[in-house]
Amino acid sequence: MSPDRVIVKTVGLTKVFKDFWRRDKVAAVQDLNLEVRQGEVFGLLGPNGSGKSTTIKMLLGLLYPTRGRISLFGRPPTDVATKSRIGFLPEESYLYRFLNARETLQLYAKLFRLDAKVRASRIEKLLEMVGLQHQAKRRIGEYSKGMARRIGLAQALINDPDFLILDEPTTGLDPIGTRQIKELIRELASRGKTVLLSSHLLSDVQDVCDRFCILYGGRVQAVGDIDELLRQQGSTQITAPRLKEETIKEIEKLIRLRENKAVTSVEHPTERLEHFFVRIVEEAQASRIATAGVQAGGELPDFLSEDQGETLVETLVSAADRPTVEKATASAPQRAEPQEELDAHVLSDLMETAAPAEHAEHRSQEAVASASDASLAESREAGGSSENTDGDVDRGVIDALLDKSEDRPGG
Amino acid sequence: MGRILTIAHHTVREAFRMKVVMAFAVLILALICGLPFSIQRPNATVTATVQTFLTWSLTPLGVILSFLAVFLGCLSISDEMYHRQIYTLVSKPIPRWQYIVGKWVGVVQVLTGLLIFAGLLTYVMARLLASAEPTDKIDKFTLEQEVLTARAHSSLHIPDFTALAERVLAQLKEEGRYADASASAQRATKVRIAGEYSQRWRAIAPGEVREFEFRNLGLVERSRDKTMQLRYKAKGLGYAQDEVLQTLWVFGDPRDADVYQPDPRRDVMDRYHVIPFPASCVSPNGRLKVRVQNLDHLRREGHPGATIAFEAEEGFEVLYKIGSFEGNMARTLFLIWCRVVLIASLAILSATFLSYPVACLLAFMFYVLSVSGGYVVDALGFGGAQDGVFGVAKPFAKAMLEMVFWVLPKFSKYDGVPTFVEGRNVTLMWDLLAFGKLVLFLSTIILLIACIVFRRRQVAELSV
Repeated sequence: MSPDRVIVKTVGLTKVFKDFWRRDKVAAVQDLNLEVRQGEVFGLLGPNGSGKSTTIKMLLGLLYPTRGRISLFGRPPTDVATKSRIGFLPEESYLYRFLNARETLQLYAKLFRLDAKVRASRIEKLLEMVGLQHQAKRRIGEYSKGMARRIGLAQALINDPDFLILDEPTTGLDPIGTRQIKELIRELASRGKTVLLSSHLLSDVQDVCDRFCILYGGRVQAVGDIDELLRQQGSTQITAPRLKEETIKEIEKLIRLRENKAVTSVEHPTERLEHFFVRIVEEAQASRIATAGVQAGGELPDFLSEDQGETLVETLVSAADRPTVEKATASAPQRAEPQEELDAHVLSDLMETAAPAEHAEHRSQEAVASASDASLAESREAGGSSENTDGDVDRGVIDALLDKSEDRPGG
Repeated sequence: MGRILTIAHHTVREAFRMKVVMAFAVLILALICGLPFSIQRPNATVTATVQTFLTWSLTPLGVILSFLAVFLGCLSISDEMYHRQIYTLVSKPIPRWQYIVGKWVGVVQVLTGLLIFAGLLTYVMARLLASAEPTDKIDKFTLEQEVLTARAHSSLHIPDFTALAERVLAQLKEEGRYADASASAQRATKVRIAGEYSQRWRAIAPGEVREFEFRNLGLVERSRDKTMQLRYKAKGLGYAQDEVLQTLWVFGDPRDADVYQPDPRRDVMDRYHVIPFPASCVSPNGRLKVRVQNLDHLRREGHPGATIAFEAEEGFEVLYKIGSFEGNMARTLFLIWCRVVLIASLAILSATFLSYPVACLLAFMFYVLSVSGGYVVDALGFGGAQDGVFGVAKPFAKAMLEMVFWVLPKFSKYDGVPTFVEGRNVTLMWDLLAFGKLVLFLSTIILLIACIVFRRRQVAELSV
């Protein structure tokens, strides 16, 4: 299979809801053209009512388009064979309250006609993965929202899907569950799965997606690679263990000397609450404190691999040109590597120039220095606005100032 | 098939876990176990008690299961739509027709289970009631021979009077006493004349003897140990109600069968009476000769007596055992099953395009119409012409209802309970006809429509 193989394609997709008299009521999706490629994590972003869920429902054949075309693996969404390659987690876990977790997974596994042994094995592994193996005999009606969400996720993975649709997957989950879901999505992508993630939690999308599109009023407002769209071209961030005031001043001096730019801010960041929370709960789990809730989630089951569920011919044909296996392990660092190399290079230069710093005692803290154009610093010193995080404004000011600096001798 | 069974199994489990089955099982249990306490009367015969019990347990059972078919059939689909579990289910690789068929199979499984449960309970209770001490010998005999059995019947063979009617009509024309020339009027007159001759032939003047014949008794085991029954109802022409008619009966053709002559009878007119006689009276060709003499003139001295007129069809017939009570009960329950399966199909069809309460209402409407049969249409036919809106609307309403009943089955045609309670055989052919029409034909068509409707339906709702 080609890495650029298009898994989902919509052309001019439009959904208009009509009232009883067949008059147009709401245009939920309008002229939507999308492509989701194999192995990528694609984010569907948008505020409430922007048409995300309607789009997903059309992809699954739960709604029929008013106009336009949808193809999933080159087939229409109503095709039964295609559905066997899809996993779906709806926006709320619409599960049967009278079934327990194991029975729920049994039901869905049977619809995929999985062999009894495979079924049993997958169910156990998925229960372990979502941390509910000890709660598997309880009725889902008794579950918390987060626990039901985890079973919802497990049912979406029961068929080892090639294409996973996750509609607001982190809704109702605790921070640990949220982190696990994000890790899971990246792990699945690394194993060659394609993921369509719908969310209005921007951090979720930013953390896991390769590409995304923003919907508003049922129309695509922006679409593209997440790094390209979000990178702030006008600033550089350096992270180091806590530095002495003199060292920071030396660094500022060096930057002004080398780059003719001023440092815009120096901060001592606090730990993110998410990380702090996760650490505390993990310590509690390690000390085996009793809970009726979820246990620590396990590893991603081995059956969720790229080769499972394919024919031998497909495996042989696609093995050579499937880079998606390396995508997660390679793509995330690939984005970060040039930046880190550059940062390390600049930092070593700085440290060579500046006086040696004794920073061992400050190891637990970090200092972040942001450097920008020197004129910007001058304007701050002159009593202007302390920070301007708007990329467009920055770029405009920077461009204007660069024009000035080019005129300077030695600039 | 695997996916259909998965959905079916899931539907059954849902019915049990949601306590629907439990509720209806308790209702059936209360009905069947509580009934004997309410129907037993101090002076009632065991036969009457058992017959009342069978009538009042099996008839409501059909109604209760039809209600369950409506509730469960509608709930199984509507509930999943309402709570949106259908999103997850339909996004799995299951064709929609398999989902619908699976739901139907599941509902039918629940209904079948409850019917078997109710049937067994009814049987046990009926046997318990039948084991009570009979009031007299007749009570014991009646219970065994006319209730706890399965009897076939043969109606009186009536000669064809059509040729005679034609001759009479021709003579009337010759004599100039019949003027109506239209073909349909002549046909109607001919039928009326033949009917009058038939009535005259079934009437016996005081002192006269008439020989009647019953045919198609080839299945009878012609043995002196086996008993058959002659069931009849007669009128004394010119008598008021509750007069007693005196008759003498002789069974069997002396040329090729045993002859049995019971004592002369004195029976109240216009009521059913049963005369038992040995099966050896049936001739080898499967015919039975019965001679009846009207002895009404001997009842009172100087009294001329009345002509006795026998009714046709069920008013004058021979009954004989052909099967067991258990088999008969099973066939009766099967007729109920066929009816509730059709109702379940209608309920599932309703739920494919309507919300739960509306689907229930529609399915109930079909049920009520099927039960009421053609009575509604007949009711519209009564009364003279009306003025105003009703006068104009009446013919349209009648035509529409006639169309509905052309499609809908009349459930009274497939109700075996009255037959079963009288100890008459609910035939296998009756079961097969019901199965063919209600299950194979109508239910299949209804499910087909349900599959088409559901395939076209968008299962998700507007959520923008």
